[in-house]
Parts: sequence; structure tokens; C-alpha cells
Amino acid sequence: MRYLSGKSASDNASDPHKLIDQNITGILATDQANLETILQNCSDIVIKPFQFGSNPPIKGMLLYFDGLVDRQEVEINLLKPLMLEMDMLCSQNGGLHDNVLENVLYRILTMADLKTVKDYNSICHHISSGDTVFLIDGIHEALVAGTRSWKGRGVEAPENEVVIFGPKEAFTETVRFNTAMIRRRIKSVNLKMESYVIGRVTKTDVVLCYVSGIAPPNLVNELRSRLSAIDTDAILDPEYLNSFIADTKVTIFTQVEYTEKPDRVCGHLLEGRLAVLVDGSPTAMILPVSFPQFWIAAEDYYTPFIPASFYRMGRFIAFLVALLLPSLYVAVTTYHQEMIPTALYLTIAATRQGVPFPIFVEAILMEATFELLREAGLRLPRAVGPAVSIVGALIIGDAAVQAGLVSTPMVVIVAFTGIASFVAPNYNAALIIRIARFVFLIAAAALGFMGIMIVLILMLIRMASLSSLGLPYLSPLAPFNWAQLSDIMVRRPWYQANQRPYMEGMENQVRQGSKEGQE
Amino acid sequence: MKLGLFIRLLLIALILSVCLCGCQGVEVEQTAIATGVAADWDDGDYIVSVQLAKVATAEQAASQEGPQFIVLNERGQTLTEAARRLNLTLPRLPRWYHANTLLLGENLAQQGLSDIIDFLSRNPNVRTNSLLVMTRGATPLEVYQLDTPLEPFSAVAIRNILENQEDQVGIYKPVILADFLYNVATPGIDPVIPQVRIISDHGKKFLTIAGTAVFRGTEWAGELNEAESRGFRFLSSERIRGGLLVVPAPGDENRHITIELISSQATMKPVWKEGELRMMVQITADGNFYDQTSSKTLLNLETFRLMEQLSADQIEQDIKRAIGKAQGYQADIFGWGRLLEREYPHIWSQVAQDWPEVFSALPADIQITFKLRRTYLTDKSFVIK
Amino acid sequence: MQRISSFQIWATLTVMTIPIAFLEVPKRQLEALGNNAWIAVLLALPFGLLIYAMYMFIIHRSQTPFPAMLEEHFGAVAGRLLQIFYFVMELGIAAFGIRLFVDFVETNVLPGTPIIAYIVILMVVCFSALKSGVQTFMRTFEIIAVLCLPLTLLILALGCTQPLTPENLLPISNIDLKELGIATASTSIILSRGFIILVLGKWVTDWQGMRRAVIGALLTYVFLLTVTVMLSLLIFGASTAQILSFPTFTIIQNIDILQFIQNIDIVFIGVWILGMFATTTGTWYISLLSLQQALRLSSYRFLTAPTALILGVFAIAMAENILEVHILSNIIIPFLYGVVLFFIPFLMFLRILLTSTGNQSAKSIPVQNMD
Repeated sequence: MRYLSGKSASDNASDPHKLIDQNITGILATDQANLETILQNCSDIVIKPFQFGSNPPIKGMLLYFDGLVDRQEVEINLLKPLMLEMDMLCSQNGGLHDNVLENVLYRILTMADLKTVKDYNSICHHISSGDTVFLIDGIHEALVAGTRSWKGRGVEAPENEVVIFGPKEAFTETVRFNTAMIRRRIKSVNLKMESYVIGRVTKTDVVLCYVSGIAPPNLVNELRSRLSAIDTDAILDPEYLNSFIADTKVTIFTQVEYTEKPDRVCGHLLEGRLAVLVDGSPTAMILPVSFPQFWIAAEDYYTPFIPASFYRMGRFIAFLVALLLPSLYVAVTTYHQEMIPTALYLTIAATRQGVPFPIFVEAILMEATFELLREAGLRLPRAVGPAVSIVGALIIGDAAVQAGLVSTPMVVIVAFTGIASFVAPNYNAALIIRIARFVFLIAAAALGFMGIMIVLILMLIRMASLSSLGLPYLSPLAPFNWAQLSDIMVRRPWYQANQRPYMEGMENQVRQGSKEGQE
Repeated sequence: MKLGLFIRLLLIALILSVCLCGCQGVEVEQTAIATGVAADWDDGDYIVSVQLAKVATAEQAASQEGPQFIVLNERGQTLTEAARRLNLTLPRLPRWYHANTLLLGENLAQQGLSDIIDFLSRNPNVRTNSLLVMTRGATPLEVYQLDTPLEPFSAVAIRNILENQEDQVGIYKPVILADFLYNVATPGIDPVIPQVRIISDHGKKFLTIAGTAVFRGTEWAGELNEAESRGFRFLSSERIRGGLLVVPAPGDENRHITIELISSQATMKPVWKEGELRMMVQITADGNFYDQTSSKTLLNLETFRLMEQLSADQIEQDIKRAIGKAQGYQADIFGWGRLLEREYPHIWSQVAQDWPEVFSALPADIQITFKLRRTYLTDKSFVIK
Repeated sequence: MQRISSFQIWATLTVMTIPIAFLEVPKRQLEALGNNAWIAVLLALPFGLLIYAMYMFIIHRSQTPFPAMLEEHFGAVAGRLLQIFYFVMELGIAAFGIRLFVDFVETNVLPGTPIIAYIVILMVVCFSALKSGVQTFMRTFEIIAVLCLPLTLLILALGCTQPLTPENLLPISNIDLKELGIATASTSIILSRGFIILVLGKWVTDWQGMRRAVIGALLTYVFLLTVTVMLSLLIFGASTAQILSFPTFTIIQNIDILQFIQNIDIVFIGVWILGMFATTTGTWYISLLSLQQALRLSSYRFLTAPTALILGVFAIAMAENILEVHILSNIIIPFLYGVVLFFIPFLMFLRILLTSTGNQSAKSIPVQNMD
């Protein structure tokens, strides 16, 4: 059919954008024509008309997108029963049985996932999702059979969250498999999964998961309303959602947590947080989340609590090092030389002989180089990437020192900072550090230690004013909550964790203990 | 707070700080590290000498001939002026606070230190935990120019020597500037400063610590020799550790034994007895038997008692000498006045004006308990057959 | 208006009283009492308790928080005049704090930097805190208290590695009682900087917790200052310590462990800067609230910018040199604290005690939005 580009009164009837809102007429020929108009130029659509019965034959039509359905299921469980159960479909006198729809839905078709829809919009939505739509001449509803099946990536180990001990399953791109992975770990039926379709063009399935009875109802309501209010063309990834539902949209501080691991999602769900899964992305989004939480690795919970606490403290120190070390070095060597032990000072002075740049410029240069190397390493193919990064870092660093462009302590500092910045278990949190580090460098170069303090205060004020779905961004540090803090600073052993971390509006805070008693 | 506001404020803060600070920061390569500072006086002018480290990496230092420091000298009408005039010849900014040794010249001390006390206490560049040492028989400049064995900088060498000798030989007590200032400011105690001299040995010059300078207030009074310095050290109010006693061997006057001092605690108390003020000095000390220069059998219980008694006598002798010398100088270096103030404030208020005279006539009752503990590897004397 | 937890009250009181006290108190005590300076600090404990008990009583029995409280107790006209008076006085106190900060940093940290840079920096930080609202800067206070208190204790503990002479703390026998009285008074009056509790008290729901928080803040103050004064005495002795400009700072400057950790005063100053930020913000906040209530404005945040200018100018014009700052610090400011932060609340206290009629008029006072 001609593709209609203009609007005119006579073309109203065959304008696909208007047609799609109409209801099924019940006359197969009309419906078929309308659907073909709507679906023109989609070469992967399969429209199969068929007829059954003979006196007179009843016409029907099957619609599906090739590649999205399991053809065998369509043939065996849809077409075959229809072709065989004639007497349920056709009445003695010809024509349709009185209860044909009921028969088809409940007695004939041997499919588990069946429903009916009434308008073209839903038909199109369903066939785009991989269902098969079945129209019968004379019936004003269409049958939708769940025959979804396509080739997707299998369950692999997570790429961005490396695990030593613990489950190594990661989400895949199909939301239904992801929800299944979560459901497998939380077998309670209080685990609710609410489904939304967001995105005018992409019509993405978005699933909101929470455990009712643990998650605060007001948080759930808030997130529901925010999700329902989104009106946009495309949702391809949770980050798209984040831009709409975040409390503060323009900031470097991320207010949600992304994860690829179902066990991590379950851990958060059990503490009363909400998870959002988006079809087409293997990343789950968790809210509400607070800044100190970014330094907890899921792995902590799979190792005994004393080593886990030790490494968690180490991670906090690494955070401070990654954020402040270059700026502290610049501040101390430029403004506060009295702090350096004399012998160290002599060494630093010796290595800086002949270096043409001031310390601040050196620091910025080396930091920028490191960032470039890191970013380049990400884009290189797997075979070449690590080698080029290492070689680049070593050679560039070494050559620069030999040429007298930078001093050796600076290379050491930058390398150490780089390593420390990789300690953050959460990629987005590491991004915060990388950006903030440069601001601290500039402040240190301007006013020394005082500059660092000032920027620290400003950053604290900024963070204190943020919130994630209403939860203050810096809890449990501020507002101070000792019980929760003990789980952030060190890992409390499970036998002591009688209460869940508190969030406002939480109903059930008792996790274990009192009623059930110890083993 | 909105991001826009935040960014604006941040920018204001950073730009203003860059523009207005005048960049007080100093790059490391524009600085010179001072390892030692000295003050002296000559003919109406103050002289400041400073030993600056030459900066070189490890390889460069190994291949370099000659000393790794330079010593600079400047004159001025005040010490601060002299120190800053250094910048007329020195192209770098000296970092003073890495200097842990402060040498005072003989001439300066004889002038009286009251003139430089203000400089020492107010100046932020003078570290109050630097060691004070006085030079005798040489100017500080010469001392700093010396090459010391195994230590590149003589200023650091002096400090190390003073600290190590306390543990090994136990003669001199290192004095830090804070203590010196405290002693000057507090009535009832007078300061002392260890002295350093240059000795010649086969044409090569070495520096050595010899004697302690005694001050009456800020006036130079005299010096204590080695034995007296040792005695002075025994009377310090803190527990002293380490040191050596050479004591005549029991039964043989010509031989000696070496006793190593583990620790010693002095308790001094003024006592008002029968209308007379006396100072009770009680010393409790421990030692180890280190070696003997005779081959007699010395290590049985009775000779132990004998050796303890001999050691106690030796200590008593040293202390008496120190007290005698100090009383001769009328300088209360032991802090007896301060103790009197604490113990009998009403008496102190009467005698405070004439304390130097009262001190010089103050009798002291000394009681020493010395215990020998262990004898190192062998607990019997080596028997030659 | 969200509630404020008792921990936030403790943190606020701590950061409001302690940083300035580090600068002002040790010197005054040492000059007045010499060896026995530490006794005056300990004696400030019961007086501080009285002051805070008075504040708590006033909050309990008033129906409005602080700036409106003046109208409630003194009547409409006098109340509003007093609010304007408080606006000016609290600005003065904040400006004095800034001036002390600037003088201290100029002397000890980076001499030679134009003071306008420090003033601007401090103002920028406090400005951003005020613009973000009470909740935000309450949380910042919490973090500052939680982070800085252990650091301060650690640094003071490092100070104990110096040789100490315990005899410097004695003798106790010949204390001049007049000096003791003056010293105790000047230490206790700094506690009245916890005045901010009159503003925040109404938002705290947990009364028991607030009482614990107040007592906790008092104990923290007394403990920290006693340790500081004692350390100055133990390390330097009375005669030397009396001539030092800032004894606390000099203690830290002298810390030298194995020649490795040395001159860490800049770390202490960094910690102290956080405290100064907090106390200036709190005082500025009170003054803005007073003006807002006096003029019945809907929000105080837009007043921040003009008052920033006033503060800056006031801080510089206040005194010409450090000696005048000392006179201010020793004589004028304690008097100011006494009148503004103690005497007028005392009048309110008396009024509440003596008139037992209910404050019906309180309902008619429009309390402006303090958020």
C-alpha cells in the first residue's frame, strides 16, 4: 500500500496513526486490511489466514513477528487444536458456535498464556512483544497467545562486578528472565513485581520489584507515581529512567545504584529498598540509596565478618586516598613543607631538580594522562586492551620521568591514586571520585590545605542537600543513626543483625530474633 | 542547594583564591633546606650561620666529592635581620623549620642570652624542640663547616651524638629549646646547655661534646666538666636511662669495673629541719655489671654488695661535685627553688629575692640506693687456668 | 518542618561552642590563674549546667521558638525591637568569630595572604550552607562533629607524647579567688553560644534525648578544654604558656614523633576550620532569623547576600591590630555574650517563673518560616 504522508479527510480511514486507535471490527476482511495498513513495510510480520470447518468455512487469521515467537508452539498448540476441535468451534448449523470464544479460550487451545484484547493498539503491542494474535471472523475480540521466544545471551558472569566468592550469575537483557532470577532467590509471595510500559515508541517493559511488608509503602507509592508520570519516546536503559525519576537531576552524585547481580538486588530488596528492571538492559536500578552504601561490596556478606570488616575499612581509606591524595601532596609540598619529614623532603627536592613544571601542573598532567589511558583501555578490544594500558602507563610514566618532565614521586602518587580509585565496588561512585579529585587539586593549588577544607565543606553541604527518593543522601552519617552506621563501617555478623536498617515508614524492622528464637 | 548556585559559589571561591592569595606557595625546588642554625655575636652585630643541604639524588650524591652542604654566614643588628639578609646572597628560600639544631656561639653566651630570648620564643621559624648546643673554642661557623664521620651534615651529627651518648655513655643531658625557655622563665631553676668543641687528631678535625655550660638566668656563669655533668644528669627530675659508671674494682684500687646504668630516679625534697633548710636528695638506681679489668672473681653475693656500695659512692661523688660547682656559680640548675616553692610557698616568698645566695649555702643530704641486677652473658668471672 | 534528632542537637551545640573556645579560653585561663587554670574549666561545668537548664526551661514553657519568643515574652513592640537588636548583636558575634579566624590564620598558617581572601572563603562556605536550608546544615554539623571530634582527640593524644611535668598543675593552695571567679565566668559564658538551642528546641520531639544531648555537649566541652589547658600546662608550664598567643596551637606545633610526624598543626587547623564554619553559620542563621521575624518576611535566604557584605566589612573594621582584638576578646565580647546570650534570656526565664498566666497571646504571633 502507498505510504500516506499527508493528512486528508479521505485518507483518514487508511492513516495508520489514526487506525491504530480503533477497535477490532469483527469483520475479518476489514481487520486484515487495517492491520496490513498499520503494519505496512514491516517485512518481519507474518500474517497467516486460515480457515476451518467447511460448512461454511470459518475464517481466521494468525499474526506474529517472525523471530519473536516459537513457531513450533504456534503450530502445535495454536493451530493444531483449532483444526482438530471442529465441533467446539462450529455449531451444527454452520457458522460459529455460540460460545466459541469461551470454548477457544478455555477448552480448545492448549496454551497456558491466553488473553483477549479489543483494539489494534493492544494487538500491535502484543505482537511486538512476541505474542501471537489470533483473529476469528465474527468475533470482536482477538486472542493473544504467549509464545515469546527469542535468542538472547545466556546467563554469564557479571562483567563489571567481579566476584571471588559468591554467586556469579548476572542479569541478561530479557526482563522476564531477570525477574525469574530474583524470584528464585526470594520465594516469598510478598515479593511483588509491578509491570509498567514506559516509552511511547519503545514501549519498554519496566518492572518494579519490592517486598511488601518490608518496603515502606510511601516509598513504593512515590516511585509508582514517578514512573507513571514519565512521558518520553524511548527507554533503553535504567539510566533513562533515572533522569526522570531522580530527586536531583543535575549532579555528579548518583542517587541510584546499578547492579548486574541478582543476589545483590535481593539483598537490597530484603532491606526494604526497591528495584527497577528494564527490558533490554542487564542492569537493575536500586533505590533509595545513600552515599556510604556505595562502599559496601556484596562480597562482604559472603566472607566472615572480621576480614570483611577489615577490608571494608580499607575501602573507606582507599576512598579518601583516591579523593585526596594528589591534592594533599600538592598542598603539602607547595604550602606546608614543614609537615614533611626532613629526609623525605630532601628526596622530593632531589627528584624535582630540573623539572620544568610546577607541582600543580605536573599533577594535572599526570592525572589527565591516567584518565585518558583508563578510558582508552575500556574501548580497546579485549585482546589488546590490558596490554596497551599497562604498556602505555609504564612507558609513558617512565619516559616522562627520564626526560625530566615529571618527578618520580608524582608518578607514584598518581599510580597509587588510580589503583585506590578502582577499589570502589560501584562504578558510578568511582565516577564521583574521579571528577571531584580535579576540583580538589585546583583548590589545593590555590590555597593549600585550607582550599581542600573549603571544597570539602562545599561538597559536604551539597551531598547533605541531596536525597534519594526521600532518603537523605548521607545517612547513616547524617542524620546519625548508630545502629545502621555499624553495618556500614564494619560488617555486623548476621547473628547480631536483629533489625533492618531503618527507613522512614518502614513497617517491619525486626529481621530475626525475638519471636522465632535462636536455633 | 541547586547545582547552579553550587557551581557558581565554587567558581567564586576558586577564582578568588587563585587571584587574591598571591600564591604564597613556594615550589620545592625554590627552597633550601636548613639542617642547622647558629647564632653568634661579634663586635656589636649578631651573626646567623646556617647549614643548608645540597639537594642531590642518591646517585649524584655518591659521585659527588666534598661536603653535601654549604654554610652561610650573615651579620645584622638583630638576629632576624641577619637571618633574612641571607637572601641577599642565597637564591633560594630557606626552610628554617627543618633545622633541629641550634648552636649558640661563645661570644653570644658571654653577652648574656637575654637579648635573643625574644627571638627564640616568638619567631615562628625557630622550632621549640630543636636541640640547643653551645660552641666553645670555635665559632659556630667552624663547627658547621666540619666534616663529621658517616653523617653528611654536622648539624644532624651533633643531634645524633647528643642523643646517642645519653644512652651509651650517659654524661650529658640534651637540652631542647622549650626546656631552656621554661627554665629561663620560671623562677627557681636555671638553664644549662651542652657544649661542643673541635678537637684536632692528626690534622683532622672532629667535633666532640665536652662540658655543660651553666647560666644564671640568662647570664653565662661557667661550665661543668664531664664528671660534674654526669652528676647533674643524675639529679634531673625525670627518670634517666642508660649510661656508664666506671668504678674502682673492689679490693683493687688500680683496676676498674664498668657498670652500666639501667635507670635512675632522683627525688629531691626541701626539708625544714630545726630551723634550717636542707635539701634531701634520694637517688634510686639500677645497673648491670658490664666488664672488669681484672681477672679476680667478682661475682658473688658479697662482692655484689660491695660493688653496689662503690657505685653509689661514685655517683655521690659526681653529684657532690656538681652541686659544689653549681653552688659556686650560684646557679640553681637543679630546680631546687621550684621545689621549695611547691613545698613551702611561704618560705619561698621570703627567700625568692636572694635565692642565688641562699642556694649557694644550701646543704644537701644525699642518699643513694644502687642495685646491681644482671651480668650479661656470664654470671661467673672468667677463670684463667 | 522536619524534626531534628537529639544527636543533631548535640552536634550543633558541640560545634557552636568548642572551636571558638579553643582559641579564646586557654589563653584567658592561663593568664588569670597560671598553674591552676584547669580548675576554672572544670568549675565551668556546674555553671554551664545552670545556663543550659535555664535555656531548656525557657523552651519548655514558651510556645514559640526563638525570635518569636521575644515577642511572646516582652510584648509586641519591645519584642520586635529586641529582635532587631539581636540581629545586630548576633551579626557582631559572627563578625568577631570571623575576625578571630582571620587573625589566627594570618599569624600561623599562611602569613601574607590578603585577609580578604580568607573572609571571602569563609563567607562563601557559610553562605552556601545557609542557602541550602536548616536541614542541610544540621546534617553538615553532624558530620563535622562526628569526624572532627575523634581527630581532635587523636591530635591531643599525640600532644601527650611530649615530655610532661605533672607538677606544673599544682599547687592549688594559693589561688586568687577573684581571678578564679573571673576565669570561670569567662569560660562559662562561652557556653552560652549554645543559644541556638532556643531556636531549634521547638523542633525536637524527644525531650529526654534532648536533655541527654545537652548534657553530653556540655561534658564534651568541659572535657576537651580541660585536656587542652592541662596539656598546655604540662608541656610548657605556666610562665611560658602565659606568653603564648595561642597555646593550643603551639602544643600541636611541637609534636614531633621520631622526626616523622612533625608540624602537624595544619591538620589541626583544617579540623578547626570546619568547626569555625559551623559556628559562624549558626550565629549568622540566628541573626537572619531575628531580622526575618522582626520584619515579618517570608524567607530569610535572600537576606544572606546583603548581610554577607555587612559581615565582611564589620569583621575588618572591628579592630585595627591584634592587641585590639585581644581587648575585644577579653573584655568586650564576654560582656556581649553576657548581655545578649545570658541576661535577656534570664529576663525571659524570670518572666516565665513569675507570671503563671498562660501565654494566650502566643497564638497570635505569626512565626515565620524558619526552614
